[in-house]
Amino acid sequence: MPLAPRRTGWGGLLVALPALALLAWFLLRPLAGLVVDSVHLTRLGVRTPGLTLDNYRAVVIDAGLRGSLTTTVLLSVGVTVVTLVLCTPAALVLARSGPRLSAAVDAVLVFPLAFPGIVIGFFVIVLLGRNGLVSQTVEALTGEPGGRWAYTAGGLAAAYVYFCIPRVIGALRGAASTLDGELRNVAASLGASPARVAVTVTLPLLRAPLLAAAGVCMATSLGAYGTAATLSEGLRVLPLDVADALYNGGDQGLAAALSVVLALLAVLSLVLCTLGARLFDRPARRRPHEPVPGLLAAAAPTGAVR
Amino acid sequence: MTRRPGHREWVGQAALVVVSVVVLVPILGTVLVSVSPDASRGPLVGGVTADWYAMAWQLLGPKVGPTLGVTAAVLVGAVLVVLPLCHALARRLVPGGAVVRQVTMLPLAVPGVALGLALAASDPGLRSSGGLLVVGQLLIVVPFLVAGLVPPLADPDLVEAERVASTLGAGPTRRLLTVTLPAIRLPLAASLLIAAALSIGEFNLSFFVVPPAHQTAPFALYSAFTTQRLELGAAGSVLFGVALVPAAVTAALLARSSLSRKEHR
Repeated sequence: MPLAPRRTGWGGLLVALPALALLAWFLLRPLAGLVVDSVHLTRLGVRTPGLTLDNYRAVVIDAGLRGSLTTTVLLSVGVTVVTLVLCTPAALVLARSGPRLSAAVDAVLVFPLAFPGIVIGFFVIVLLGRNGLVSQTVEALTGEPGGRWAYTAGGLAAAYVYFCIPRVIGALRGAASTLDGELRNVAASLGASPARVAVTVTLPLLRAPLLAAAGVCMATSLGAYGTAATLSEGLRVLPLDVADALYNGGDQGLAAALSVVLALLAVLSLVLCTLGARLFDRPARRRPHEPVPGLLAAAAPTGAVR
Repeated sequence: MTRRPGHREWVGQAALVVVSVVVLVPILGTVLVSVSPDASRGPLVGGVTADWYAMAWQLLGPKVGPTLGVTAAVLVGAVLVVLPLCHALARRLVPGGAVVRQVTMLPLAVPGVALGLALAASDPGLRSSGGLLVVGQLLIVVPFLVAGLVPPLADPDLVEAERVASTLGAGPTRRLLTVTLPAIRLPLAASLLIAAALSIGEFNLSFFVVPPAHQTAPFALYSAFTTQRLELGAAGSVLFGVALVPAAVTAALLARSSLSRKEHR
């Protein structure tokens, strides 16, 4: 494609300058400042001179912080695995189904995308909280208090899975619809069992989108502050500790270090998954800049919004 | 096609049903709780009431104005600041365009908590006016605008049309109003609706930069959650859903129709 001549832009680069300035001043500069804050100690709300790694050391030494770091990572990995296991077969069926079913499912999947993270956390309280609907049902059936899982790892995981579902299905469904159905039929006619076809034919072809979906899922779960805050009576996760260090400890340095750890984990999981996906995808990739079609796919990398 | 009703198909359909149930049951449950007089005695025990909605509206109502004000400012910023960047990126006029695109994706990868903390520390002076909140939410929506607008702006047909208009003597403003904007109106509307929905519900980043005196609706909703009245929180959530879901559905429809329009050509 020939490059458009300069004058068909709107004043060329000039009109892009405000946005570039915005990104430099309000995105890159604050993030750099965050890193600088994280290598300084905060005493009585004031940054002390002298570089130190004590804030990062605290994440390893402090039992509470180490616990929430472990919880955060394990929870995100677990949620990613569960969501992929649940959504991959669903996305495959969806890709082979007619427009009516596909539109209906689209309508259903809009909900987890549209609701803010705090509302999704609240959904878990409505069902699994002390007076939750499921808790009340369990109590009515067994005669004892039960089902109050909202503030456990399971409750938090349920909320995370909820907002990961549309992201994973959105990421997988476009790729699943391009799968060649003949390959499955050939494998089946050669006597492969359905499970074997899935493991040896379908899943290898979906490796790249599966990895991409996993990256999005991980990054979203790692940064899910609103959801965790709503369910904050229970487990500690890292985003909660950031707010806690700042507002209850007045410790900007520690809060910054925790944010940097969180951001690195999220960026790392996205980058690793993207790189892995590219590696698998290379032979099949024809148009690298081709966007993934569909709103759900476009909104799929909704990393930071929970 | 001869399709034996195999085991795998069954697994997939069951998974699809499970996913739909998982998504819908909490919403239905929340609606049920929101109209119950006292959810601790059981849903709908003692009839149906709208009292919780009245109370939730008392909490959320005063926040509607400030929230929509922030959202409007974010959308203005999206059109005036981010859209030109998308156009320049699509025309490859930005030096280091690939790097710039990666930077525009940063707000997706970096958790909102981290970005919010960074903004609050770097520009505390802008917080009380609400300026920092607008800037922060604008950053949050940048990745969605770039993902939604750069591909349609890079459409070869549009590039060609702009060039023809230019050779016929149309100035930049005229090209913008008569060629570019009409060509991208569907993706632009979809992107702006997504941006509006994200802005209205934004909590993670906003938590650190919201002016304490002028909090937006999600914060009122959050305090409704912490009152321990399940029904009040449920009513507030339903009100929120009523505000957000139509925007999201419309965005989905617009994106769908702009896609199918492309396929028909």
